[in-house]
Amino acid sequence: MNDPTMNELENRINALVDGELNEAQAAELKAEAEQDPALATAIIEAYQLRQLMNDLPVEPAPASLRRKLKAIPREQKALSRDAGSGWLAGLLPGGMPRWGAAMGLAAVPLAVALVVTQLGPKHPTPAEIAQAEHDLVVAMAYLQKATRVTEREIENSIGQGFARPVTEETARALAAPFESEKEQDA
Amino acid sequence: MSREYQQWVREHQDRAWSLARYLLKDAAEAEDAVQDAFIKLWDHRDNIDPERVKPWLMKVTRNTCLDRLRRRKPEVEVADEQVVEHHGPAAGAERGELGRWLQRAIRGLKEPYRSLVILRDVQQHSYEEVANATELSLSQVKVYLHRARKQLREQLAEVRP
Repeated sequence: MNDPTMNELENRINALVDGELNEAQAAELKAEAEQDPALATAIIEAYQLRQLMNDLPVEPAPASLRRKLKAIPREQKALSRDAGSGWLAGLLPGGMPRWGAAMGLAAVPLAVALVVTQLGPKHPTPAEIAQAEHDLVVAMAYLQKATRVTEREIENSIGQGFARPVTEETARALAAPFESEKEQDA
Repeated sequence: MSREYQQWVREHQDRAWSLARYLLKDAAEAEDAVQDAFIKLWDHRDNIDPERVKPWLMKVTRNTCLDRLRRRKPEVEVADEQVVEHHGPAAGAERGELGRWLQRAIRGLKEPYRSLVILRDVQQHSYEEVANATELSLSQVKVYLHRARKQLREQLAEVRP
C-alpha cells in the first residue's frame, strides 16, 4: 500500500464504487480495466463487497433497550430531583464536585458524633444514650444518601466498574467506629 | 424537549445499537453502552445542534464502546480475531452465510478501520458524518477506509467460490 501508484489506483477504485467519479473518469478507469485483468478483478471485488455490505441486515434495537431509552428522561429527571432539590440543595460550594460535597456532608455528623462519644461522660444518662442513638440514625441516613449520590457521580466520571468498591469501602471505613461502639455497648 | 429527545431515540436507536453490536460482541454490554450514550444525549440535549445529533450520538456510542473494550483483558480481543480468520464460508455457500462471514470479518478489523466500515459502508453515513463521529479528518477517513476495504476484499477473494 505504500506504492504511490497502488494508492492512486485504490483511490480511484473506491471513488468509482462510491460514485464519486464523473462519467469521463469512470470511463477512463473502465477502459484501463479492459487492458488490465488485475484491475478489472479489483473493481469487480470492490463492487461485490459493496453489494454484500449493503445487503447486511440491520438488527433492530431490542425491546428491552427501547424501553430503557424511552424511560431515560423520566429517570434522569427523578435523579436530578433527588440530587439537586432535596437535602443537598443550596449546600454545595461552587465548583466542588457533588459527590465530594456529599461525602463531606456525610462526614460532618459522623465526626460530631465521634467527638461527642470521645469527650462525653464515661457513664451517660439514658437520655444521652437515646440522643446518641438518634444522632447515629440520622448520621447513617445521611451516609446512605451520600453513598447513593457518590456512586452515581463516580459512575458518571470513571465508569461503573470502580463505583461499588470505592463507595462500599468508604462506607465501611466511616461506619466502622460505630459498629465497634455498638458491639461494646452490647 | 422530551418530545424531541423521544424523536431522536426513534430515529437513531437502531443505528446506535447496530454500531455497538459490531464493536462489542456481548449483547448485554452493547445495550448498556447504547443506554449510556443516550443518557449523555439527554444530559447534553440543550447544547447539541439538532442537525448534528446523529454524528454526535455515533461518536459518543463509539467512544463508550471503545472505552469498554479498553477495560477488557487483551486476550479476549485476540480470541475473537482468531475466530474470524478460521470461519470463512465454504465454497458454494449461500448469500446469508457470506453475510454472516462478512459481519465476523468486519468485527475482526482493527480500529479505526472497523468503525469506518460500519459507519460508512454498512450504515451509509456521509463521509463528513463519519469524520465527525470518529474525530478523524476527511482525508484520514478515506485513506483508512480504503485500507479496510482492501483488507476485506482480499479476505473475501480467499473465501469466495
